[in-house]
Amino acid sequence: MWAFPRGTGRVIANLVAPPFPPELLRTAATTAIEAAIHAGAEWADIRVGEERTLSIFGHGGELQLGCGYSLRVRVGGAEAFVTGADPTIVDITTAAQRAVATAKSLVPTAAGTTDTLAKVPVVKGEWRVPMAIDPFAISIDDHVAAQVSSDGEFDRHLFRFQQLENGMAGASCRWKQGTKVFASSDGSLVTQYLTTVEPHAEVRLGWPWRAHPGEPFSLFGMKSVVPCSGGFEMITHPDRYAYMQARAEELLSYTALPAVPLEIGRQDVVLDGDLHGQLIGTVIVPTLSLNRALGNEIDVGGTSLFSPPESMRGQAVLPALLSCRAAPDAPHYGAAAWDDEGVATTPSPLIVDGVLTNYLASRATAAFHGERNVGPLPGITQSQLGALPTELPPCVAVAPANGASSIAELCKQMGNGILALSGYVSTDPSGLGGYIYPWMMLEVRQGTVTRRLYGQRMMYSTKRIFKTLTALGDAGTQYTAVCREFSPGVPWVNLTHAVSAPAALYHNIDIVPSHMQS
Amino acid sequence: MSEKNHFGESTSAMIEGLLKRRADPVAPRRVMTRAESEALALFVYDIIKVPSANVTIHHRATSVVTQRLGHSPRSIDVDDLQLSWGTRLGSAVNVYITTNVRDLTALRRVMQSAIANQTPPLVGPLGDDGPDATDLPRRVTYVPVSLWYPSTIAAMAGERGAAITALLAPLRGTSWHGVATAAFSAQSFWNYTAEGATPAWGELTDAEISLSVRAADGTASGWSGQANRDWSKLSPAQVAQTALANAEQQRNPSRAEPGRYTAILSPTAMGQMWGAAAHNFNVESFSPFDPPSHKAVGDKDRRGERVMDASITLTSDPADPDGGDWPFFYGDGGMGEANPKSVWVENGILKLRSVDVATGLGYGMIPRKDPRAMRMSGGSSSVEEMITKCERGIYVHRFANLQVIDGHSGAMSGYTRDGCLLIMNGKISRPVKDFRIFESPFLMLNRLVALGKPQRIAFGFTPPNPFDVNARWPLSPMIVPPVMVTDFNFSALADAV
Repeated sequence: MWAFPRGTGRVIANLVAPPFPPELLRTAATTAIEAAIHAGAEWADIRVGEERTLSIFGHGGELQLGCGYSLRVRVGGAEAFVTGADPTIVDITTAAQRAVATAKSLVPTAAGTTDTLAKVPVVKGEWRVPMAIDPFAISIDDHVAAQVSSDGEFDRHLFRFQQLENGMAGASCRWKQGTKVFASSDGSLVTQYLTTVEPHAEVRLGWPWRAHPGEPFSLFGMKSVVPCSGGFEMITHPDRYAYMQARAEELLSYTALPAVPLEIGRQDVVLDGDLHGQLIGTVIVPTLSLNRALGNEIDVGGTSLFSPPESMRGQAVLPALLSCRAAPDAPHYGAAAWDDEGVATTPSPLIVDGVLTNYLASRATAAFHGERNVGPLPGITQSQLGALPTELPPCVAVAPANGASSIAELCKQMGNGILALSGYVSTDPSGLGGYIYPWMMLEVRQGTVTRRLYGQRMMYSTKRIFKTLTALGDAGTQYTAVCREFSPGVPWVNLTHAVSAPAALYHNIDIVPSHMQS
Repeated sequence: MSEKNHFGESTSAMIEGLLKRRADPVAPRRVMTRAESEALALFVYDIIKVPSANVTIHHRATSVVTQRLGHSPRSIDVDDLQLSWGTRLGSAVNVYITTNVRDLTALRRVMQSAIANQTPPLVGPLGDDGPDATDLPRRVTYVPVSLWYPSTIAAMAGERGAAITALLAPLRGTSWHGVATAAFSAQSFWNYTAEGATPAWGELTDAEISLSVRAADGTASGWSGQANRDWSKLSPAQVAQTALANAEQQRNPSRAEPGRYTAILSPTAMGQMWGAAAHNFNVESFSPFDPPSHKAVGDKDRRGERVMDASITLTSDPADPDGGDWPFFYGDGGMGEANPKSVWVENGILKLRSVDVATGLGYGMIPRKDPRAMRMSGGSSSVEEMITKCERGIYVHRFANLQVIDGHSGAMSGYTRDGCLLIMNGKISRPVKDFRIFESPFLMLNRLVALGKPQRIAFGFTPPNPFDVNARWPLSPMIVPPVMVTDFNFSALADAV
C-alpha cells in the first residue's frame, strides 16, 4: 500500500506502474493452460488479473496494488483449483503442474461421477468499461477536489457537522481499476479493462461503535452518487453536488430533533433505498445461487430458502410487488462483457412479479441442472483476484414502483412508524433471517418525522418480512447499495456486489433489544 | 543471482528449493523452514536498511477437498506468503506485501518501489505519535510448543481423497444426501521485532474433517466433524457414523413451543458459543465483565469477582496437548510478544482480561490475545447421564450463525441446526424443529447442572464471522465439554433449510 498526500500534483498512473501489463497477463494465462494440458489435464480454465485500488480521503489518497490467478483443471471427473498471488510464468507453470497432480490424486474418489460443465461458445476479444476520463490518469489533487464542490459549499456543510457536539463528517471515494484475462483450453481468450467507483459521504453524531446504553448516536451515509462502473466523469456531475448539499441540509435539520430510545415491539418501517438494497442483496441474491439451492454447500454454510429448485422455480416466492434482474451492463457496478467463466453476460430477469424465474448458475451447476430443468442463468459469476468464481452477479436491479411514490409519500402512507436510513443487514448462511442495523432511525407520527430514535435494531424472519411488504418507492428513491458476501474458498473471500433498489414500506417489523458490539 | 545469508548459504538457492517443493504434490513440507524464513528476512533487511524494523514472514499452505455424494470431488489449494515490515506501533508506518514471489529480482523491485513511494519515508525520522516498538517490554521467553505433525503434511497430499471416500461411504445406497469436507493447513511464521531481540518462530499444522447429511426433502439433517493438529488422530469412519446417526435421529421433526428449557449442549454447541464470545474478554469490548458504569479501558472491572459457576475454569495454553496455539502474539496488533498460559476464569472467578499490544502499553497491562484458543474445565457426566437427569429439556447438537447481539451481557442469537431433540422424563422423546436462540454463555453458566469431558471441537469449514476478522478457518482450538444448564432461552421457531 502506498500513501500519497495532496498537493503534489502527481498523476497516479505515473506513481506506480502496473506490475503486469495486459500482454504479460495473457501470456501467463495461455502458458498456464498449456502447462496444465501438457501435465495431463483434460480441460482447464484460468482467471488472471491485476487491480489497482485508489482510496481518496480529504487529505490525500492510498493506492493498493494486487494481482492473482485461479486455475481450474479437470482430470477423470475430479476438479482441482489452485490459486496464487503472483502470475509470473514460473509460478503459474508450477501451479498448473500442481493442480493436475492434485486432480489426478482425486480420480479414484471421482469414480462413477458424470459431472461436466455446460457448453458455452468459445470467446475471444477485448472489452473496456466506457469512460471519458481515466481516474488513474489525473492527479491526487483533482481527486481530492472532486470530493467537494468546486465552490466549497459542500465543504461548508460538512464543517457545520463537525462543529456539533460529537459531530463528524467526511467524504471519500474508492476507485478500482484492473485488467482481467480469462482463458480456457476450449480456445477462449478475453481481456477486460474494468473500472468501478464507490463514492461515499458520511456524517456522524456520536460514536456507534462506542455508544453505551443511554447514549444516542446516528450515522448517515449520504447518497452522493451511486456506486457504478465508469470514469472520473461519473462523480463530477454538477447535480451530484447540489444533491449532496440538499441531503446535508436535511441531515442538519434532523440534528435539531430530540433523540429518544426506540421501544421494543413491532413497528411499521420505511427502509430507504440503501437499506432496502442491503436487505435484498444480503438475503435474496445469495440464496438464488443454484449451487446453494442444489445443496452443494450444506457443509460450508447452508442451503437456500429457494430449495429444491425443481419445485421452487415458477413459484411465487416473494410479493408480486418485487421484480429484480441481473444487471451486468454499464454503467451498473461491476459491469463486464464476460463473466469469470468466459460466458457472455446479458441483463436477465431473476424474480418477475414475485415469481422465481431464474437461478444464478455457474457452468458446473448449469450442466447439473440440464437434467433437472431449473432455469439456470450462467454468465453471472464473479471472483476476486486469486479466488474461485462464485455465483454472484456484480449488480442486481430491483424495479421501482411505476407511479410517483417518494419517501415522504411512503411515510404518509405508513402514518406512524419508523423511517430507517442507511445501514447494513446481517443474515444466516441459508438466508433464514437476521438483523437490520439502520444507521439512522427517525420516528414518524402521522406521516411526519418527529424525533430521532436510537438504541435497538430490527430482527427479521425472511419468509415473514417479505410477506409484509406493502409499497415500493419510485425511481427517485432508487439507490445502489454495496453489499458483502463471503465466498467459499481458502481463505473465504469477502466479495463485493451491488443492488439497486427503491425505498420500501414494511409492516410490523420486530424491534429487539440489542447493542452495538465493539 | 547469489545472495549469501548469514548461514553461508545462498538465499536464492534456498528459495528455489522451496519453489521446487511446491510443484511436487507429495512434498514432505509445504511451507518455509526457519532457515528459509531467516534467509528471506535478511534479504528484506538488506533492502529496507532499517535494522530496528519489524519484519514478519507468514507462509500458509491450505488445502480443502469437498465432494457431494455422487458428484465430482473438488479441491482448492492455496499457497500464500505474506511479507510485511513496519517501524512503529499505533499509527504505524507499515508495508504489507502479499506475494508468492520467489524470484529475488522481482521481489527486490517490488520492495524498492514500495519504499520509494512510501510517505512518510520508511527510513525517515519517526514522529512522536504513539508508543514505539522499542518501548515494548521485551518478553521473549516463549512457551515451548509442538504444533507441527508430519502426518498432517503427508495426508494433505496423499490421503485427502481416501478420507472423503470414507466419509461418504455409509451414505452410498441410502436416500440421504451428503457433502464431505477435508481441510488441511500448514503454516510457518517468523517475526523479528527489534535489533537484538529474539526472533519469534513457529510452525503448525491443522486438519479438520466434516460430513453434512440431509434428507432429500430437507426435513432432517445431521452433522459431525473432528479437528486435530495431528491427522492420525482423526477418524473419517467415526465422523460418518455419527453424522448419519444424528440425521436418522432427526427424521420427521415436529414443533415444540419456544420458551425456556433445560438445555444439554454438545461440546460443539458449547464451543461455538465460546468462539463467538472470545472477544468479550477483551478490555476494549463491551463485556459482561465491565462494571455498570464502564466508560473507558482502565476502569475497575469485575476481576476477582465470581462471574460463573464455581466448577468452571477457563484457560488458554499454547502448549495444550489437545490443541495449542502460537506461543507469541500474532494478530490483535501483536508483534512477537510472548503468549503465555493464561487462566481467564478460575473456579468461577474472573482472573484476566485480554488486551492488544498497543492498548496494553497505554494502560500498563500485559498484552494477551483474546481466548480464541481455550480449554473449559469439565466434569464426569456423559451426555446420556445428563439426559437421564433431565425432566424436560432440549438437546442441541450444533448452532448456526451465532452472533453476539448485546456485548454488555454477552447475549447472542443464532439457530439450532443438525440435531435438536426434545427430552421428557429422562429420555429422548422426539426430534423437534429448529429454534432461534437468544442466550449469553456468561449468564447461562451461572445456571449450570452438569459438565462432561472436554474435547476439541470441529467448527466445520463454515463462513467466517463477519464481526470478527480473526475468526477464519482454521479456527483456533476450542476444547470444551458438553454442558447441561437450566432456563436456556429458545426464543422462537426457525425453519431449517
